[in-house]
Amino acid sequence: MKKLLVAVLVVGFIVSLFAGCKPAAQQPAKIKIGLVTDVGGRGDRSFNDSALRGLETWAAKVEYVQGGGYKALSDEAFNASIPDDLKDKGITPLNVEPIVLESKAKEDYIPNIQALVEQEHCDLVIGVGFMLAGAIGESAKKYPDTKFMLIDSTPVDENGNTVDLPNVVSYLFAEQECGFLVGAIAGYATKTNKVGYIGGMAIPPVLRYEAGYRAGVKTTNPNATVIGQYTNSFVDASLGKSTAVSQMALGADVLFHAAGATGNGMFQAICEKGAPYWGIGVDVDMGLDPNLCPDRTLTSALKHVDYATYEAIKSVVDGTFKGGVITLTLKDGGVGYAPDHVKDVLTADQISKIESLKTMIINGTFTVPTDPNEVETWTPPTNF
Amino acid sequence: MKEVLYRIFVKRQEKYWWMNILVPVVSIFIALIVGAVFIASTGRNPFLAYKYLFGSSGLIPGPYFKSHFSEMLIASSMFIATGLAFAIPARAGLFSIGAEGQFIVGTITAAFFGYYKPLANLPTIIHLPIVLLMVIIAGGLWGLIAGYLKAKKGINETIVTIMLNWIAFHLIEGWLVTGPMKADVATGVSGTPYVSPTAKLPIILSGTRLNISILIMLFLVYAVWFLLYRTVFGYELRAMGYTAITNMEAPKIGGVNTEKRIMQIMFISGAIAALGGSFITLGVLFQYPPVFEGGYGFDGIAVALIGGNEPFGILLSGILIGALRTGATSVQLVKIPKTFPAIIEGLIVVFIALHELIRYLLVKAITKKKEGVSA
Amino acid sequence: MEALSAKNIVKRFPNVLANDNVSLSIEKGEIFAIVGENGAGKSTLMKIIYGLYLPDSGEIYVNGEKANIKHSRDAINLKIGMVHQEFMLIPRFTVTENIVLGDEPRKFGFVFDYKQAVKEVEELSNRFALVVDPTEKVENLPVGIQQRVEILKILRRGAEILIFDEPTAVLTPEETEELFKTLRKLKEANKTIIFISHKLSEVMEIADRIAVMRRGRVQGIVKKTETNEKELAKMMVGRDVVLEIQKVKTELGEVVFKVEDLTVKNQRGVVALKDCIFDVRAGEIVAIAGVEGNGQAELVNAILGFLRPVKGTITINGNEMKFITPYDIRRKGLAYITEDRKRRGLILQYRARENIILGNHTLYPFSNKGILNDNAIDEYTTRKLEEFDIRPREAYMKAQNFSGGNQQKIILARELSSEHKFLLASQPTRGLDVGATEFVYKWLIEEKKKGIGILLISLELSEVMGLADRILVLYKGEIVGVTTPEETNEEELGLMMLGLKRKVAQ
Repeated sequence: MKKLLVAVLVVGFIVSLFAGCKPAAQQPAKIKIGLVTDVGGRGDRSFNDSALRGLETWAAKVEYVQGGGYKALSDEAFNASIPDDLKDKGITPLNVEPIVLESKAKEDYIPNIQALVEQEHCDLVIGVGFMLAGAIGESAKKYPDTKFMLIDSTPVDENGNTVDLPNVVSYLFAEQECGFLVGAIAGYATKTNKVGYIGGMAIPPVLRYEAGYRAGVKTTNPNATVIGQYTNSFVDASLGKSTAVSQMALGADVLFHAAGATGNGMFQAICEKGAPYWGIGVDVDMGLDPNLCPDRTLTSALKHVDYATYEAIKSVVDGTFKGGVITLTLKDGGVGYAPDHVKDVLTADQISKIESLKTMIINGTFTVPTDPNEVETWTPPTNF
Repeated sequence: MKEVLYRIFVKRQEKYWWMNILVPVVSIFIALIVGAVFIASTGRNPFLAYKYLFGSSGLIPGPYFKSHFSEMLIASSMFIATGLAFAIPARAGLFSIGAEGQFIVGTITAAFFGYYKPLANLPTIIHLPIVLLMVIIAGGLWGLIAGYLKAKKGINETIVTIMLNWIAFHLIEGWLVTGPMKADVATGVSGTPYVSPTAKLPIILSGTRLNISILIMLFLVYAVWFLLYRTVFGYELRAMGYTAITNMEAPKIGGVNTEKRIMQIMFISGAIAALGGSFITLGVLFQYPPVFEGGYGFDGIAVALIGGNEPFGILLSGILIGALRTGATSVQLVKIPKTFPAIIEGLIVVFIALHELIRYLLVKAITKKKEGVSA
Repeated sequence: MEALSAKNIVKRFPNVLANDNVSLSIEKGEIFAIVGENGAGKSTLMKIIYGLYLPDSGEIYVNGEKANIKHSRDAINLKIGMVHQEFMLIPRFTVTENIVLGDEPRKFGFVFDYKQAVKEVEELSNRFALVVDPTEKVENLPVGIQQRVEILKILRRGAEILIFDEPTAVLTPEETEELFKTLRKLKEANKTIIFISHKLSEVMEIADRIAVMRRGRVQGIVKKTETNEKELAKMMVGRDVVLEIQKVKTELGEVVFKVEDLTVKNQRGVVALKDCIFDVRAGEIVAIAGVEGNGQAELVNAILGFLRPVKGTITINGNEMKFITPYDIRRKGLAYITEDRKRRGLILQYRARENIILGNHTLYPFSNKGILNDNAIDEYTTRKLEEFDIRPREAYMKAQNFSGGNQQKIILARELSSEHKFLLASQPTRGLDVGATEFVYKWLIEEKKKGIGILLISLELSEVMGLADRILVLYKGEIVGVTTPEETNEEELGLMMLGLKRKVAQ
């Protein structure tokens, strides 16, 4: 009897292997949007999650079920997910089907894109993060009929050269602008005239954050010094923690990080020390994240990867997709800062000065440097 | 045919020698059944999971077979490399888990000699062998450190290789990739510069990424088998392995220079692991990325275990693990987490580790049957 | 009264009929010895009686009643105990803990009552005059005492029939004497003792009746008083055995081996060999006699390069060995026969063919430019299996599956075939049966005739007296006696070995 059962199982198993190898059924009604995360994957509380919000929550209006699958999202939850500074951008569901593939290793990027294009016939494939620059570049060449979106970088071909492809849209961000604003806030908030900066790796977006942050501090508090360090890791929370602790020991009382999951360690250190230390989050509003340190999060430099993702999807749905490079700035709402505890620390006067700085940047009264080495020679606006 | 199988599995004149094949196969099968139970317990369809897992693993012909097949072989060649890198010292009684570090030493060495300007204009036929030779030397020397310390100072090779893994990791990712070997920021590339096209592994199946790495590994599997069973070196190596618990006294008295052999073995092991690492640079990523989540070295231990530390066993188990990795992409399409194939891999290792038990049960079942027939 | 009997026991292993219709009857209160060569079926029979193997057919009777022994538990319940060759003791446990393991005295039903256990063990050891320290850890005890612990363990379980499977194989001569005293005491206590051995002298000393087994069959059962060693040996081997070693004329050649002022420290840093001076010349056998543990192991290890001398020199064939490692020795013309076949002599998982070329495997025709030549190895192995009468003639059988005697023959075949002028024979007959011992003696004498210088390290006085041209007695790392078989006798050697007499030419 047992043998029979095993035999039936085995036969069923083998038959099922061959039976189902048909291409996935196509539903022409819905536009398919594929997304490949970087190795950080779903649940990184930052970059990937932000892109997933743009695709799943906003464009598709669904909620991810732990372990795989989706369920419908209520209108309240949908509205609640849109942050204040994007309320006026007219974000509405786009009726698309999301297909998300996570990457276990760098070598998975190309197979993942391949599966999305070949097996799922996605209309748009989104690559989250600069690490996918090469994979998107190579794949876009191979599949010229599929549209691609790359976040935070321009595509790179298999020889490492930046390429311009008609079927790839790259979204870059003016990180220096939101970095500048949080730097300005930090300059006001510091009591010790020392602020900290923890960078993940010295790659262009992180360097832009640093440049803006230093410039912002220099503007509102010329006497303050910035203690800046690079951890060379986006994933090592314990390293982030020890770096933060050492900066606090050197006297820094406001700390900003642009280091992905490494920065989670910075918030851990601040939570353990408590007042008077403040942390500044990056990319998403970390003051809303109960797993970090909402009580001691001064503000967050916002980089609306979610909005960029949504915009790219919308362009495909509308039929207005165009290859090229789009840089999102303060002006178009692509970057910003989160209110969090700003009003508890800064005076009303100071807050209004921050707002006027923001207006000045939007109006182009001055430009924020993009290279940390230029901050030394850069002349800040006066009267702040 | 029988003679060939005998020679491959070596245990000739042994009763039930074919158990060496049957036991891993049964172990894998049990692991798949247990994995199905796991999946079913989460309310998902295990048959669907396996259908997608194996349907897109490159093992079973089907839609998109060509691309799955090539991806599978790309992954497999690296697993085979680290599997061999673990198995060779293991056969000599050395428990080296340094393949992880040796692997990335190979990756970075290939990156350097791949983009190094003075070499970049040489034709592939000259440039690529130079790169591979440098990879072999660098990986071999990295492995030799542990071999030297073991042979001359008697320091435990396991501990040394663990420490060397960390040293390699921090040296490469903490310094080289972000420091001296960093690509110019202006090029928009993070990590090291891309290698010259002349250093890339030639593609053997057009339209895919499949390159000659699998051919290199097929040759190496044969070469390692030959080394183990047909040469004085292998004879002495296995003798050392069999007597490792008694301090290799018998081979020493028999004129085996165990110190020299340990160093040679660790060199070869390191060189093969590094060769696997170079495939990443020369065939997949074309650079050393800013962060490289390797893990191939540790997976190599599982590959060697499943393959019974036999070169041809490692060939098969490397292909199996490569296939599981390849299939992992597609299981996500049916809402099954990408970690599922890793669970299967873990289960296989567990049941392989229980091989003595499975062997015992199999032998018992078979002998029982035979007795039943004769009675 | 009959304590135990076996009727028509048959046990077949693949390819081997281990017990071929064996019948025995053992009386209560006697010491019954079973002798036979290795592989004659003695151990198999005992394992059947103890329930470790099931017989294919045949019956066992205990105290006249048919016993159904399917498991060693059944045997223990029938008051049968067995002292195995390899002790079943836990080294980290104390004597008491080992003895009571599995049947511990308890307080309140579940707490292990160690004090009570110690008391019980003391009582037991007094009753049978088996002196042990109940609180000492087993790992700190010499082998002889460990064996005593084993005996106490089975006595505590109430054993009436005690099986000893080659108990003297691991013992020194003094320990053997102690064991025999114990056996006699047990006999006085009316216990039945089954004594397995292949050493005829021991059997003649201790047994009341002797069963001789050969190739799975009982060749005969004799009373000790009605037989002698020679007759037993003939029954065992099936032909006349030359136990007396025939002296060969010695033709001395040049010095092939020499030690001067050799001082060696053992692994623990204690001086184990002090200022030894002697040489071995071609064509002579120099024997080192002594009780085990008086520096023999260190001497061997120093010669082989495992231990570096603190002082002094070792010279083989005129080459002084300096900072030499074991693998270099092989090239200096040394052959080595060891008592530790499993550790030093053979690679157990290797086949006979692979073991037989070890040491010469780098040479033509076994290998050429580093590549092994299978055909040459097979051909050579087949020839050597024949020449040295290694059974079975299976070149592809693993070394571990050969019997002890045949393992030693594989070592002989290898070592004596390699190029050498000096042979280091360290207890070459230890653990061997009569036939294999005779074989080893024959080859040692052959070597001597060929003009090889032999250094023989032995614990067996008869061997030393029979083979040696010169005898050196080692006591506490010093040579306390230099003599020849003609000038001395076993008694005097014994005194020197115990350090009670010195006889050194000043």
